[in-house]
Amino acid sequence: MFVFLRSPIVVMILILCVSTNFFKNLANIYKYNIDQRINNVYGYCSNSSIGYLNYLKKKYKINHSQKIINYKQTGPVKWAMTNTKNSFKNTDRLILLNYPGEVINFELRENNKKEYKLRNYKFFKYLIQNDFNIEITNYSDIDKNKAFELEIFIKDRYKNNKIIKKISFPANESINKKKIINFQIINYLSYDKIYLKFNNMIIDENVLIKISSINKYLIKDYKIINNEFNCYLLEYK
Amino acid sequence: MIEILNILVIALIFGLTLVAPINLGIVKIKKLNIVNYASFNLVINLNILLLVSFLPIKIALVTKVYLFFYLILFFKYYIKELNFENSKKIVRIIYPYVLIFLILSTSIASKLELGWDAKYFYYIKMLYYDNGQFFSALNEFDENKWHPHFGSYLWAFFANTSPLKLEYAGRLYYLFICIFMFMFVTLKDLRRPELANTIILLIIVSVFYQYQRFSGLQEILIFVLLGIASKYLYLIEIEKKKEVYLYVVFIANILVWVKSEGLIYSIILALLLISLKNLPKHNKVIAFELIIFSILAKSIIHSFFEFNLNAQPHYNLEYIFSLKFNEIIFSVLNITPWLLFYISNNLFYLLGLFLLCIFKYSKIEKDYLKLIFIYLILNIGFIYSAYIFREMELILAIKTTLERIVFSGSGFYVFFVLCYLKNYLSKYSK
Repeated sequence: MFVFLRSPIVVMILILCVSTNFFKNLANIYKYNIDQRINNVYGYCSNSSIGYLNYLKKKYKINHSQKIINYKQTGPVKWAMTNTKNSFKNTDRLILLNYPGEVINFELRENNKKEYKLRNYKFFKYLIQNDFNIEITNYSDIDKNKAFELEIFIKDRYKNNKIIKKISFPANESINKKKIINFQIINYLSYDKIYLKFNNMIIDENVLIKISSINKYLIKDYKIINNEFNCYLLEYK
Repeated sequence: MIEILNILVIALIFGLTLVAPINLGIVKIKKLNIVNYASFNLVINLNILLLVSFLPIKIALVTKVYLFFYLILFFKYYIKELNFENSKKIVRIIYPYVLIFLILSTSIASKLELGWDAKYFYYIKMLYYDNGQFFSALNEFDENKWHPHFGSYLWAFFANTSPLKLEYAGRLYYLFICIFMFMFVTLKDLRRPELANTIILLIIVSVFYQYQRFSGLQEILIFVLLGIASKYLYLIEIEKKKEVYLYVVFIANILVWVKSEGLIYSIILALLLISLKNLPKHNKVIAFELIIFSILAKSIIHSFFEFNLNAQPHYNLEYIFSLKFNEIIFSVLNITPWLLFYISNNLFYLLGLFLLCIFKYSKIEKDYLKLIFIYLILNIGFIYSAYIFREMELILAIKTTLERIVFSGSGFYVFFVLCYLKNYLSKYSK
């Protein structure tokens, strides 16, 4: 009955089917139409949110360029709304995808030189007001007679540190307490990575460091035209 | 279900582009087998489409005329041979390739996700053509700057030939020509396919296939064109079919319009043609002049349509001349480990390098080996200079582009690697 399986070509083709998930792909094409598959791949109001953009395009018959801001790092999304025939850009409206709220929190990533990099700073630098707020709790000084210092710096092409701000606090001040530091990064927006270094501070699992900045786009400043989950079509008031 | 039917129709249309005798004997070659013949059709077809892409003709009209013309050519030349017996023979020969295409097509149709550069540049350019605009309109596209248009034109063109006019149908053409390239370099003659070759082809495709290659990125086109060019150079040098050199020139012409680095590959092909032992001097001169002309033609066309000629922001003479020796060393030291890493992840590049190292035992014609060696030197030289002279954060540039550059350049080794594999297997089977 399975004589055809003796053919090496058929066997190889079956292997190819398995290695490329042919049957799953076939079922996917059969079960979902192309719009549903796009939603599955790019998300409706998650990840790239192309599903939401397609929905807006159809519902509001948007056929011009539109400012779109996606708060998830997913790659460009403008392509889904591009109309090459209409160069008009509607500056009265704004689409926000995956809106995180009014405050954007940053994580810190440590390297082997005890330096901390602001994760995703490159992505968020134009989406925040660049007023940073650092909240440090449960920390203690290494040497109680020395000052606690926070260095904020960038690195040039050859990985040399260039300090852009140094904040220091007198010795013996606020041990084991909460410290709130505010700083601004304005003239260094061309740099994609911002590093922090905490001098004379014990950093262990008890220490909690929270870094945040205020979102540049606040929903309260706009009129909401459409909202699905955390995706918005807004109009300037 | 209707999309599956759509894919089947697309496969037929793509097949038509290979068999309809568009070549019409532009270059007469003795003892031409059907695989070589189809490859010439492909190259001529791409050159015709390149020419049409500059004309102010809406793509919807071009696709209709194109299909009509190809159907006429097909029936005119093959009507006498179209009978039940012949059809049965053809089906028996081509069914593995059709199946490969269908299997991989479902992967593309199911996943749909576009690559990063595709979303930024190539898909948008494709939309220009899809919306009935012409080459001149690309000038309005802010991101247009230095990315050539031809891959996007092919994408729009073949998306329009499909009955459902779905975006991914255009990308299926990339897959189609890729499978054809593998077929072209593996098989000597389609009429007498050896089982071993078909199995090698299936293994290679299974190992090679990654969805990302067909996500609208243009590297696959360079990979395919270099793969075909590599076999053409073999035909000239080893099988002494010197007329084929014109098709290498045609390929160089397409490369210039596929990606910015296509220009470098075009020059590399010109240098490889010059280095051939069995190509007469006057043919070398013609080939070199034609390739230089096609490169100049790009500048002329860009000037004519008022495109920005010096738009590549990462390369400028001021930066290149200001480079110091220690900066060059710093770049070389950073590029080398990444290059080795990406080469070790690329099947054809890795095997190609390995076979060059053991060339004494590889039983491949020495003249062809010399050609591969020259290509390797030029390709590696190109990769290093591309990053040393680029005014951009080096590691970021390497991480985002080097894998794709290595991949596109590896196309040239496909025929070389498969030649060795076939020789080895035939020796082993004896």
